[in-house]
Amino acid sequence: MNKEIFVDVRELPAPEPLEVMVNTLGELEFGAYIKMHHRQMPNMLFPILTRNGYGYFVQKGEDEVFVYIYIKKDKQIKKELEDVLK
Amino acid sequence: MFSSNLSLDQAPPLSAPLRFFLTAPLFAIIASIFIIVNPEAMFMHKDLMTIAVVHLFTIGYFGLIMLGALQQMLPVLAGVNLPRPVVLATLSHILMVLGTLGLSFGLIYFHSIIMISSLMLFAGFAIILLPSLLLLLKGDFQNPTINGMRIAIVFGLLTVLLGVHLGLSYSNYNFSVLHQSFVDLHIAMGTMGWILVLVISVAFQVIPMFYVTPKFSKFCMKWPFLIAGIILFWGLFVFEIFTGRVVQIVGVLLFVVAMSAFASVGLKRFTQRKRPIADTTVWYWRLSLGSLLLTALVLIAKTVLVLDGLEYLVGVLFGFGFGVSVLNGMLYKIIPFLSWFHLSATGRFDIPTMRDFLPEKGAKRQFYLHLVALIALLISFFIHELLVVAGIVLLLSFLYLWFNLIQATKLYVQESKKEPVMAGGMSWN
Repeated sequence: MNKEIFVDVRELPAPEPLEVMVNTLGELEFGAYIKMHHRQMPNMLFPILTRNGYGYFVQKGEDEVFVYIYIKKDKQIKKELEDVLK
Repeated sequence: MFSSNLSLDQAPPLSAPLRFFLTAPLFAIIASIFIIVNPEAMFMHKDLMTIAVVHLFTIGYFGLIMLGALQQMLPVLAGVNLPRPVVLATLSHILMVLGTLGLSFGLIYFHSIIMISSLMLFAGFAIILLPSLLLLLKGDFQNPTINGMRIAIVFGLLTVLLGVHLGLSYSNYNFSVLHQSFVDLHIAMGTMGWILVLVISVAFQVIPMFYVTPKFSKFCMKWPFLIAGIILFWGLFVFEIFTGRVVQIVGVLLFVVAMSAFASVGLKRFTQRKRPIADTTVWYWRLSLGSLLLTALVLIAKTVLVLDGLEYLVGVLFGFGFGVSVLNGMLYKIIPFLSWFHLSATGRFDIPTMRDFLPEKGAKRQFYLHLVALIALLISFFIHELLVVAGIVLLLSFLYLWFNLIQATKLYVQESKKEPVMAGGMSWN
């Protein structure tokens, strides 16, 4: 698997998780993805991602959410994430 | 696993809610001036000046902020967005501003404009509340916040409808035999059904989300339904379908239990935070919930001990101590966040932090003024002459709040004019 940037924002008060994630997006490069661990669905993050050329997958548990973020043009990483998350 | 479909821009344009937030303090400023000019009237709860001041707060301040916040909360909490948000916001805002000014000045000076102002207010509320309710009913959402918001919106609309009926009575000075029953129901629905239920429902999400506390229990999540039931019970009492002193005491005690339960659990949640950093908004929440507990105590004293003349204290504690405090706390969270969010959504990473939009120092100073105003308003119950001073502190507190919000907006406008800076070699679309 490629380079993973893991960000755990579960204990941050809103809206800090969003601020942290936007700052982390600047570090994302081709061949890498961000795995975000949150305690709830980050609805406000999604439009920022979509508008700015990022794709994402969401895995939802009982009290936690994982969001996998990748550069949309990076088809390779998207496919790898799809395979792993199936 | 899913790839979410929330790809549309989920937030309404900033101008839609912001106009409500920036205008609301102006009505509180006008109300403060009325208090300074005619303080004695505030101790007579049926005086038209008092009714005008109450509505400058309940409609001009609470109403506007709640309408603005609702537009913003729908996408965040329910994943739905009002259609044509700027058009709806513009229409509603104009009607609300004109209607609030018309109603408050009409009550004091020109009774002939009360009716048209009431209708404008109904339209102003309905333009936002009706589509919001339809969206919330249509969606497949079943969480306690959304259920509570549905109940609050229904009570909000009913409160305004009753208000139109009462406005008609005041405009031609023709009061039906049921006038007082309609007034009592209007007050119960507005305070308990609209304001309290909306604050409780939003608190279910906002307190754990903003302050990283444990969630509210499943039992707590049923409060909006219980309060709705109590209001219906109260409605039967005020229209004399149920009669008797015992029924009245039971009704009030049920309201008291609901308020105290929410306030106690809310205050407890603030002691269970994972990162106990007390910013100004935490103090606003604590003051708000503490005031709600005190409101419950005063209501018991007023009803069970048959003490008259406590309407002023109930109004100050519930309206200013609980309502204004919680809304000020929310404004201090919402405005920096929205300013930051709308800048970052344009693809810029070189933007100020949320804290830069509303520095803690200014917020804290304004909170102290707010606290002094509340204490002065409470002491004025015993020393009426002090109400002029309380009114002046109140005025300063809202001026400072408005200044803080304007500063945040100015920084947003200034930053939004800058060119986006690309990050990580990405091309923005």
